[in-house]
Amino acid sequence: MMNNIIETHDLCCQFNRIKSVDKINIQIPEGAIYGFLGPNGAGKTTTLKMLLGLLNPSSGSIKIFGEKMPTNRISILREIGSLIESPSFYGHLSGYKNLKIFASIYGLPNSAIEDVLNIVELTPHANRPVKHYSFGMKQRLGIAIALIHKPKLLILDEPTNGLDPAGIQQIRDLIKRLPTLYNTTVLISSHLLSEVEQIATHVGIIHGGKMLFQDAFDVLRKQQTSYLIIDLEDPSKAYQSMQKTGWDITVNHTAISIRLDTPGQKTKIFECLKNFNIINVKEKHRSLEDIFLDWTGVKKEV
Amino acid sequence: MLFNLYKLEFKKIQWSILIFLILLDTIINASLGAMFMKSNSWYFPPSWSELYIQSLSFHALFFYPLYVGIITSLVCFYEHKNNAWKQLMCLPISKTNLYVAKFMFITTLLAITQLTFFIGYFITGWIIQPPGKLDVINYIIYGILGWLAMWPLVALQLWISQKIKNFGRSLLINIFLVLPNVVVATGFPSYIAAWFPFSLSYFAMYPQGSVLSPDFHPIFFWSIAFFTSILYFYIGLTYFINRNWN
Ligand SMILES: Nc1ncnc2c1ncn2[C@@H]1O[C@H](COP(=O)(O)OP(=O)(O)OP(=O)(O)O)[C@@H](O)[C@H]1O
Ligand SMILES: [Mg+2]
Repeated sequence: MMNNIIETHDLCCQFNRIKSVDKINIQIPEGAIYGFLGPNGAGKTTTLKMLLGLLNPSSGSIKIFGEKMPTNRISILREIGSLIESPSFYGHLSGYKNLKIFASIYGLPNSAIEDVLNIVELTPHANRPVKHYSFGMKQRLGIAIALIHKPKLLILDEPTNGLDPAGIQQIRDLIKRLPTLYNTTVLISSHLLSEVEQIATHVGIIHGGKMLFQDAFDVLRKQQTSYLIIDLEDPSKAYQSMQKTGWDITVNHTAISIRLDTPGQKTKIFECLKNFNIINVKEKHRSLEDIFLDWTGVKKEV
Repeated sequence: MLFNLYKLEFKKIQWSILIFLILLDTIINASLGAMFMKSNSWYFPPSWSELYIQSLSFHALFFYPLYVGIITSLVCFYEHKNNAWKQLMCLPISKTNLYVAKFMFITTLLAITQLTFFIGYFITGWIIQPPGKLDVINYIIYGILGWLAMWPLVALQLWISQKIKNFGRSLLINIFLVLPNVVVATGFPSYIAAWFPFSLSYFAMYPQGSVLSPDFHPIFFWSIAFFTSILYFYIGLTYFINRNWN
């Protein structure tokens, strides 16, 4: 059985009586790339800050690597690399000197600095003061700081924010390599399903401080379905006859809608409906994006 | 680990700003000391100790306590800017060690400031050659006592500085608080003034036995200094350990 790297129990966080995070139970198995998905203001950053001990939970408990946070704060943090919201560093110092500060805290040799500069492709800019970096370069430096000690757990809060498409691709490839490269478990937050879809093995969907869904990504993928929407002259009659044969079906005053589990079912449906006057047939796909938007209550414009 | 964090502070600080501040304090007070000694020479005959008293007033009443505030803000400023606190707090370092390292670093910078002030005084004296004997040991003691007397203020400022993100605002607050010092330190007896941490170095550094010497009660004074240091440090540290880092 795989161990959970992160486990929270009914984690809550409250700001001025408003619950920003409400009874969250996160479980992240070892070696996973866990996409923490939610719209703006869902409580992603707040949750990640509690995991890192930056915010005190108002109730609930956290276990990381099987140890209690914040009781064993220092030994847990030794194995975590993180980038929360915008990257932070000393603007008047060069990229190299910034990394040097972190390297000396972890007790790492200079070669670790050069390695990580190479990984994020900042080597040519290593000796410029960070305040002269572009936004994307700062973001890369932030990721470099998070990776410098080859952590067992990497926590990234919307890491591709502000990166160009090439940069996004590069970070994505890097994150995908991490589990095999350093045996790192990754927790990455995002408000874009498409981004999580491309890298995550596991997913947690948070909305309004509550966890709506959490499982392997493939389980979420299975929620995708297609519907056949059939306009009929007499939909209610068709509904009654189809329902008896066990279809997952809904009806309104012009059409019936039938859930398709396999494409081959279409012929069977037409067979059943051969005695009805079909006006029009449409197939509608309910994509992950639709599911996500349904769950998070933001309706897509038609 | 503590020593490691202390060393890191040296790498972060912008030495150009600091050297400018320290030289400013030294040069202004050495010049004022020489000038006032000359202009007051009719009432107070020039001597090494007269030069000291004239240089000291402005340093101990205004510059030194102000610098405690400025240096403390500066030492926290790099973390406030760009929100580096957040990054620092995600590192495997003890919060207590980090806080103590900052405290030690600030007192180190203040020791350098104090040392430079005395070097300025010695050089000025060497140039104008006032009559009388120079008792170096005495001045070393004043220097150390004046430095120790600022510890309660360092503890207080470190508590406050972790809250105030804006360096300019912090500077303004400090100037505003240092100004009443002229009244507090020169007008009140030490056991009252000692509760106002800005005034302490003036009492500790002013030689006793002259007409203008402040009303000084060493036992009360140092007890209050010790007690308030511990109190402010404890409150500041507890706040630092338990606070949220947004
Ligand atoms: N320091 C704070 N004081 C008061 N409310 C806060 C504070 N920090 C966060 N919140 C509230 O908590 C909720 C969750 O915020 P959080 O930053 O965790 O969202 P998020 O999921 O990271 O959103 P985004 O995608 O915009 O980054 C929001 O409603 C926010 O207003
Ligand atoms: Mg956020």
